[in-house]
Amino acid sequence: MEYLLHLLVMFGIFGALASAANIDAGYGGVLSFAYAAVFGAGAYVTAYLLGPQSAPVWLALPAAVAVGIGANLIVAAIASRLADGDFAVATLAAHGLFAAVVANTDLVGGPMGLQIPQVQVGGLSLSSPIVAAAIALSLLTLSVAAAYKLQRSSLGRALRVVREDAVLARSLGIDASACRVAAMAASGALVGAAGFVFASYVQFVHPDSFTTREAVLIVCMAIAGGLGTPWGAVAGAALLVLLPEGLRWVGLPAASEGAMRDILYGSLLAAFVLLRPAGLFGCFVPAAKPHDTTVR
Amino acid sequence: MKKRGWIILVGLGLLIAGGLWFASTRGWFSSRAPNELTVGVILPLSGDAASYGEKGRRAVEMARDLAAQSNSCGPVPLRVVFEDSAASPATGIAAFRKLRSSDGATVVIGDVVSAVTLALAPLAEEGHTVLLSPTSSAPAITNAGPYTFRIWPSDLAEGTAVAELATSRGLRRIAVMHMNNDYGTAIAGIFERTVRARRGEIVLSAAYNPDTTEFRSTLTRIRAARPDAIYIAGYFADTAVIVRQARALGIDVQLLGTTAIEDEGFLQSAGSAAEGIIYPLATGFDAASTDPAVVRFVTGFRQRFGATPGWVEAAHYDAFNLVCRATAAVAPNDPSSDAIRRYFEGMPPFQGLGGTFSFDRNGDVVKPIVFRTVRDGRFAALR
Amino acid sequence: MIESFAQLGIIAAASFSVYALASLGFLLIYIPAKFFNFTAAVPVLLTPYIAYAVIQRSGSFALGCLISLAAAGILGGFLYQVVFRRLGASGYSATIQLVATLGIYTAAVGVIGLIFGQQSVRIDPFESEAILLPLEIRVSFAQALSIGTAAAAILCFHVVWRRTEVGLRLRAMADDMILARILSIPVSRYAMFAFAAGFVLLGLAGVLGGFDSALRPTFAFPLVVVAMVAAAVGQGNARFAAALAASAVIAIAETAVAWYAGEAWARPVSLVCLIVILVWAGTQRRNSLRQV
Repeated sequence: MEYLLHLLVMFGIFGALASAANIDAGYGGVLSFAYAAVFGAGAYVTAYLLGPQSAPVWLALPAAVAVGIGANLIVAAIASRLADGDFAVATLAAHGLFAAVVANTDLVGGPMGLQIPQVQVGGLSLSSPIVAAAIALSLLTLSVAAAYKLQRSSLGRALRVVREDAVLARSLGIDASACRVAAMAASGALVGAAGFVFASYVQFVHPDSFTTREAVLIVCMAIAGGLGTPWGAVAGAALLVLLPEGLRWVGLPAASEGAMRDILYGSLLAAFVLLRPAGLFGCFVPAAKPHDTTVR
Repeated sequence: MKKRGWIILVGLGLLIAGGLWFASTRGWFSSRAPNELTVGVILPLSGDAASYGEKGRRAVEMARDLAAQSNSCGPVPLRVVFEDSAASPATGIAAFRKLRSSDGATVVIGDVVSAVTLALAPLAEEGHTVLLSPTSSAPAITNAGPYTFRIWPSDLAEGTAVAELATSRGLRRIAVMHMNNDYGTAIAGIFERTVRARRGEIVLSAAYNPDTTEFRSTLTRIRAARPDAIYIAGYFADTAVIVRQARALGIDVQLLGTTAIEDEGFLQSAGSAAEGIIYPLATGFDAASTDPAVVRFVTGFRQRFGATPGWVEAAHYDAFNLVCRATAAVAPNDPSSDAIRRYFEGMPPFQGLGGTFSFDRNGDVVKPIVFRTVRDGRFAALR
Repeated sequence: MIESFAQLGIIAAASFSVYALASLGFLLIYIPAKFFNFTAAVPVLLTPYIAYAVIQRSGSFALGCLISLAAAGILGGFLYQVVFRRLGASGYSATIQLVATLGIYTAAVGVIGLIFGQQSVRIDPFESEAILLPLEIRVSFAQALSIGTAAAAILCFHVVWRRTEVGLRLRAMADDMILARILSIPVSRYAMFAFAAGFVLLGLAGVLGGFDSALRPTFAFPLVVVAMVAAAVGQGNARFAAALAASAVIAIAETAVAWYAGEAWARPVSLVCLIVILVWAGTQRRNSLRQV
């Protein structure tokens, strides 16, 4: 039972992360690989406040959210200057930067990581699987609701115009960067909150929890699930949290289990993304740019 | 398009549900046969630490098969389930929870990597499951609670011993290069403090990431500083590269290493540059020992896997046999995790590949340290 | 002091050599593919391992290098024919393809782990001898090989690119693919050639990068990210000089920071350089477009 609850917690957290990615990419057209770094930032701030500083929970959660917003806005600042492919690579680099800095900073434990004691809120322990599952799923519901609301709001519509054609948007009087900033602030808040949930559940933050693997995973969830709709993130998270766990059950030959898992995971990912680029539910396929001159 | 999405999702869901149902009818979910005791083993089988996970896994498989043949774990048969932690704390936690709830593991051996062990310790405490780590070295594990045990000696002992040896040999000005992880940072810190306490001087202290392959910049700086010795606090793959690059740069001072370098891979990778390096043997395992148990282990391992085992394999082998010994002692009456914990706490000295040892009140072990070197391309005792 | 800087210069030169080869290879692939993709990581990863396998079997280092590089080229041509021609026609976006190729690369890492195990291996036969130069500079054989090979490759490349028919056609393709086809340039044939050549260069970078150090299934990724960013500077017009300059900046920055603060800080600093270079290059490009 605790195993299933654990899976639900991870599903909730990563679903929220994928939802954030969807807000930025599906509506805003900005695909960033930096979510793992923002997530890590939220988690580290939570751990630092709850651990060494013994701060109360009602301080840690808003702090994590604020850091999430701030970090994502930094990413937004870079976004305004770069085209798609460049931006994706720059966010990968930004992620690497975060991972390297955090591993070298003794204030947050450096390579040893930070351990935090059990967090109690009104008699409930945030690290118990049931409570954490409830919180994570609530966060996920919140993110889906936020995405849904956004989709129907005027901001959402403006964002989608910006995504398709920034010049047209400007001619219509839409302030492209303001829209993007708003979207990224919203997604940053979700990611920061997810970091809080993660840190309080796992009780241990370490650079190894926020590697390139996670960075790529979040983007893949958003894409595989489908961009441009709130349910895409949910589907993507369900698929990509369950798949590696499901591989535990497949009877793989003993000596090569780790490698086989890499192969299965990688090829399934590639096949999925190539054969069904809109994702499971998506209504937005990031299309090739009009002036693309690939060999046909 | 949406409809197709639903169809695919539902289809996948059915597939997964079907798989799970199938697995449960096959009994893969049932915790254990009424008479069986499950031992979970968590290892980094993929990812950056996969080389260690692979070694550990082989050793546990060998130990399990030998124990099954000789029926040495007592009347209750042991079932071993391996899970991958990918050296990531979150994956390790998933593995642990799966082993505990789905497989009904009574005892978990794991992890190789300290970060994962530290993440698992609170779970072990809260759920009263014994966690035995073969190779985690972080000092924080000492205080991780009564359910967490480990058979890797504390960094404190190793770092102090090397510092004392170095200074007593007249090496007063020492440069330190350490891996930027829990092991390297902790041991280097202890080493530096001890050297300074003994009136030595730390000329330079530089950290490197586990996947670094280019060390020559720091080595150039070390060369200019002309120390008496260089202490390399890392594992065998990176130490081998550092040693080769140092020699190529014309640095011929005394080199000091950690106990982790005693591995066949180190000699292969470092080649002639390894000659003369001094390091402590803190794990207690000497592959060249004439002790019949060690000889049997080394020959058996070579035969089965075609490679010479090192301290990773020996530690995992010992870990399994410790569990085996414990279950043999408690199983007929009370095959529970608490019983195993009490057994470990009061255990008479255990004779393993890593020497004879028992657990102290923190679940740590104390092992004597001897010094070794590389002579004529082989590991040998230091004179 | 001067000896140190001179020595550091050699170290930076060797790093630059590997990065430069990788960026050149990357850009060559970019001409037909027109998107950033991680398939470039595949030859960097596979080639040294193929070399290792051949060396284990035949005992000959030279043979290992030759066969593995040839294999890289063949793989490149093959991948182009089988995969990229179809990908290009299907109109996938850059990011989708980036993600898909990342999946392919992950699978490739698994395949290597499966075949060769997870242990680190060594492919070069050089012991710790080095060439001794004045000012106490020591150049290891591997470093000398890297620098020499890269210099030769860059020179060759420049000659082919600027002075030959092949180079002219490739430049036309890089500028405007459609126009090139109108002008009856056999685009697919040249594209395949570019892919094969790019893979050879990337494979060379992998092999040279694997010398003097340990080879593990996970070693290729950092190298490829650096190459990608260096290539990002030169993309669009396939400005190879810019890519080489970026590689040089990264190599020097890494070496300097590693000397000053230890290798652990080299990576963050080089990543900062990378981001700065990308932003700068992006702004330059936008400005130049605006002027048109």
